Amino acid sequence: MSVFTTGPWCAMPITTGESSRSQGTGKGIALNSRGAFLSASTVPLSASPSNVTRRARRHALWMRHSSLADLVFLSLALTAHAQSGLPDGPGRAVVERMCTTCHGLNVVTGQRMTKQHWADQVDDMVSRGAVGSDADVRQVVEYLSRNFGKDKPPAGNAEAAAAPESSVSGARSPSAIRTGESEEWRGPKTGVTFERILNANKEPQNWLTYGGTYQSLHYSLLNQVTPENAGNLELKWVFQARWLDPYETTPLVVDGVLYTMQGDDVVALDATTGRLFWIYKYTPVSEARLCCGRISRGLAILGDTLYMAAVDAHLIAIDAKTGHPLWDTTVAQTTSGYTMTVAPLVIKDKVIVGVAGGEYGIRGFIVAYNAHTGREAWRFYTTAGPGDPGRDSWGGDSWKHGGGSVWATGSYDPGTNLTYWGVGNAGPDYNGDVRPGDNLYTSTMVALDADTGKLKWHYQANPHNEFDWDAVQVPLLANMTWHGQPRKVILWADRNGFFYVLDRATGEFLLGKAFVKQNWNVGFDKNGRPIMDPNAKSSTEGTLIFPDNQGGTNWFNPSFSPRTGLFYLNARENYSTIFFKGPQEYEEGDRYDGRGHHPFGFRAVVGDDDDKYTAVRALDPHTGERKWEFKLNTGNSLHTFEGWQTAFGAAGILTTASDLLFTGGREGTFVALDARNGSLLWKATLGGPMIMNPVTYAVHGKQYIAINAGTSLFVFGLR
Amino acid sequence: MSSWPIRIGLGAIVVSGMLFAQEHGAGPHPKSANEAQVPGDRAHGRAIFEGKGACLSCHRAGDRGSRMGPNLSDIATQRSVDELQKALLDPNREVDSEYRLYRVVTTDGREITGRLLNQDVYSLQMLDSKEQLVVFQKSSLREFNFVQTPPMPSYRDKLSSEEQTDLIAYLATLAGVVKQ
Repeated sequence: MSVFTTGPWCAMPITTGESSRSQGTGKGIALNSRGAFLSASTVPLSASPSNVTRRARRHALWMRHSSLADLVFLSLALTAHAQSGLPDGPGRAVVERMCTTCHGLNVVTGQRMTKQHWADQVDDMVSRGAVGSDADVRQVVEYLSRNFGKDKPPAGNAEAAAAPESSVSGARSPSAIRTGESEEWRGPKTGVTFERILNANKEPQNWLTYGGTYQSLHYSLLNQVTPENAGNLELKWVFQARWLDPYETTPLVVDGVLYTMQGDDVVALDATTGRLFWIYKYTPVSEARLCCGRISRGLAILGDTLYMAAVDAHLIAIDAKTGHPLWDTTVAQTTSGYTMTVAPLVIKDKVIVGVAGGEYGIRGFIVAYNAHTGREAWRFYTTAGPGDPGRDSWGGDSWKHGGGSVWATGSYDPGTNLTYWGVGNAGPDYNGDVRPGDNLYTSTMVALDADTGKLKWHYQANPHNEFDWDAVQVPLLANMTWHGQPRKVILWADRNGFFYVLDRATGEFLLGKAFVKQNWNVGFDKNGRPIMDPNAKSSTEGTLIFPDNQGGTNWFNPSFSPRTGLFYLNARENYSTIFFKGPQEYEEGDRYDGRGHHPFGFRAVVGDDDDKYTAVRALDPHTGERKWEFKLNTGNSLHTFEGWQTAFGAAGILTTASDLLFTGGREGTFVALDARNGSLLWKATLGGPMIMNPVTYAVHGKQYIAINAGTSLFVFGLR
Repeated sequence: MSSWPIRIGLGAIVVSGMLFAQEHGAGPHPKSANEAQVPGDRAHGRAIFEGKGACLSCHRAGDRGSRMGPNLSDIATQRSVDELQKALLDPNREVDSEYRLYRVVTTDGREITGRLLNQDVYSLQMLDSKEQLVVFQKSSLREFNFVQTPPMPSYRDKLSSEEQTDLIAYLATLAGVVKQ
């Protein structure tokens, strides 16, 4: 009795004239060896063809189509052999040839059965169209029972590695739904492995993680588009996301498939045409507390699983091939003000996210989950509480609602095994009276052990900050010569208007240099602690501060080009805010920002628009000196609540190995500049603000550049 | 006074009632399997699902199995017990068109089969039998069509009555994504 079935693609009804059954007739569909319809004829059928052996029928079919079948199956077998990963041994080639016509080999390698069961299974496969001689069948049964017999261990990572089509996890656990109950899982061996992301530079045609590589340089080795031919860029396709909130998602590109988001949904698109493969629809709870819109900055991928940090503080694993959800972990309670906007970061067998919602009195944290099970692996609180180093930096119990949002994705250095994350401002934002002390680790760069989450070092850019200056700019990890010595550094442009260089192994402060007008800092001590202007405090009367609360720059990616040796960012010049503080009591789920009497707690200085602008700036990372500037946006005169996200925003920066720089801004112009000198090479007016990080990728040898503008994703390539 | 208006009125009432019953169910909606009291040995059913029944050769549940056939991860929320039984015994009574096999042949003779995910005038998007997302320009294809979908085999004779019961008991636990 056959107990194994293939999918529908193999069960081709067989029409022969050899049956002598008389149990009834029915319409049979004759197919040629390629499965194309030939004719429909009335043929004798039987529910139980016992009077015509399956092998006789199979033999007849084989003989009838053998020549064509040889060609088809040989080509398929050759392909399968190159990819199957089956254990070596007699019969392997026959298995590949007979089986891969209809299905992948994972359905074989995942089974453990007795020889008789395998024989029945193969018999059934033959009845459904698998083609092979009697000798082939015997070899297949022998091979399968020898390698996948009942006495063999269950399918695990080895089998997953051997069968490239296997499921994402390669988990040892047989759980169908609750994936990977075994905690021995150490990461996938197929799909986008940790090793691939570590070596992302070896496949510049892909964009495997939020920052391009773990170093987050946002620099691509692709060089097909050059300063000489950039003028030939043309629009290739558009994806119109059905979404009206700011479109801040940086896509991933893996082997010709582009993964991005449409609001809260995840979509998989063909990277050459923008056509949809699948969509995963997600509806966050209506109680989600969102200070700044329903935003997602991107996804992560590990193996064949995508990870999405939803705005209602759920982390969701999604099958990258089909869009089916795999698990859903509640990271925090959204009704208490928690949200997530980050693109997750996968490291080894973990997926790491951070929570946001500092304007609602959260206690922020960075948290790692087992990427297979969704169970928590470690957590680092961004406000130091009892037992944490730095607890004394919070007066009373103010740490409980001290904010410390994690708005943007961190970076990872395999050499130090540290992951670097920027932490947001303390809460309440504008009134530090309720939280005396430095308020660690808000407005701080933290370096955490990637395996345990333990704090290795930190650098606080703004102790006791009252200006809403998140330190969540992406840390760029570069190797430079510093004062004549090789040094591994972090390059980091902060919202407070300063460019920093830190030693990424120790956190040693190497440089702090303003890149925009500022009036709060009068220097640094020998450890890099900022020396504040004594007047730089939020007040009930109002205090004028440069830069404004949205900062000299913001969350969007800067870039570092190893070719030019320059650090690039989008800088906001001459923006200022008058900060007012007011009393604030904590109520769960309500805003907790300490605003003053003005409805928004602050107001921008109104001045000439020409004084305020956003510009691409190239800095010498050794000194912080500006090398060149390209004006991107003119100033805006008023902070209005509608569209304020886009009012302050700009795209991130992308640089390439052909010395190109791509970026855009809120005025809707996407530009290609010469990264060496800032000269404009090409531009496209796209009609909507750009507040994401452009990426570049290649498919079939053609380079593409992708940017969101307004509510759509635009993809360009050479004419 | 003619009785025709009365007859027409009564007829309208009857038809309305029939339509209402059709739309809303003449009787109580059957419970989805995950909400029902389902007899059987779930653990044994799972063993059948993953072993003797070879369900994962075509279906997927969680992160295991084939992506070619219908994903069963949340089948218990979508089908009643009765429907699960019928699907086991008479699976071809209802086949989701999304899972019909699709076949293309390129101009250089390569044959690729899989699931058709999307198409337009110019291109096809598929999940091929190696479970790769692939796209074809129709101009590069010699043939592209649905394969006549053969049936999922009936398990009437493949599993004993007790095994069928246990298998359904296990299927009734497949209620979707683990939320934790």
